[in-house]
Amino acid sequence: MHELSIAHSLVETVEDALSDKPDVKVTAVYLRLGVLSGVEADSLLFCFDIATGDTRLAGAKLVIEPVPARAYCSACGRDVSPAAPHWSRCPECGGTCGKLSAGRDLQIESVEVLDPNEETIDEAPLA
Amino acid sequence: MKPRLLEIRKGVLEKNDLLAERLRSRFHAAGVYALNWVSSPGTGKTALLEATLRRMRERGLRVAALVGDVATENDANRLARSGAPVRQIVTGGNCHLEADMIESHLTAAGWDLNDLDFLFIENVGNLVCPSSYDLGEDLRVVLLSVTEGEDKPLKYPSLFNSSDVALITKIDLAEAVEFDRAAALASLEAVRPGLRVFETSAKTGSGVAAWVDFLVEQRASLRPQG
Repeated sequence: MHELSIAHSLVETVEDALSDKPDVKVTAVYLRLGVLSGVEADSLLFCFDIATGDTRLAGAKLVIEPVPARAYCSACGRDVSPAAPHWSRCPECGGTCGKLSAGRDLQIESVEVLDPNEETIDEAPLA
Repeated sequence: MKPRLLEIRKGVLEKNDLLAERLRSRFHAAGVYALNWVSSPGTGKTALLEATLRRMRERGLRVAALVGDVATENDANRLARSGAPVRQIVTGGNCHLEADMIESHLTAAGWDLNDLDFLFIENVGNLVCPSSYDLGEDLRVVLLSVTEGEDKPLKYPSLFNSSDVALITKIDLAEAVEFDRAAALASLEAVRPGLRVFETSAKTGSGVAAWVDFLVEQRASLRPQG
């Protein structure tokens, strides 16, 4: 069980990415999670709430997009999505696939933020 | 206040990955070939590593090992019998090694990388967690013992899929435990097509010479051209 370590790294990476925006609060994190990443979605969701506790991500929603495995099948010449338990077998033609091109993903795509400074700018023309 | 979306596009483990990349550059600059050994507890990582270190030292190769364990220094004491420099990393409960532990323990060990040909990193015995963490290695080696069950790779696909080489260990026990060799090889192939497999016994030394030859070749092919 290393999802707590992963959750802390996730917070750290978001903090680093927002280091030039000290005032914004994070309300959601969008994550791509590969089926072969070695990270379990439910555990990560549980640990995310703990890891974000007293940070500006507190209360944020973690939205996990599962990413299937992808590999090239030289037999049918297509990019296909092999699945458990035959990670090297083409689901289309039964041929043997090469190394995975996706499925190990553990990537933060985007974050949803509330920016108090932006509010002033947005509302200025209305006043 | 309206929420807005900011694109990040960064790996969750970016910090670890950058550090691992930096370690890899340092290793290559010094001509060091680094390996990360992963497996479940009890596969015989330490026994086979000891046999590997001995064999390499007999061949005049300069080797060192960092060995991770949750709570004890027993493994380092065992490996030190090979005569190679060894340093224990006690993780204090952590189920895997991370790149910053490798960096800090290399510094604390005081080894000059220029004096080494191979650096062996023995990860904590765990078939899940180490798969996410790059340690700057050139080769990730997964071990599977004949006593474990031939479908282990299918049960833990992430770790086996992330590995470059598989070592089947305790091959001397194969007959006694009715090890189904073909089924084990098929499981490995299903999870990681083309995975190179060596069948070894730390006890009899079987397969160790071929494994060491392979590593020497791998290191030679890494060397900068010209």
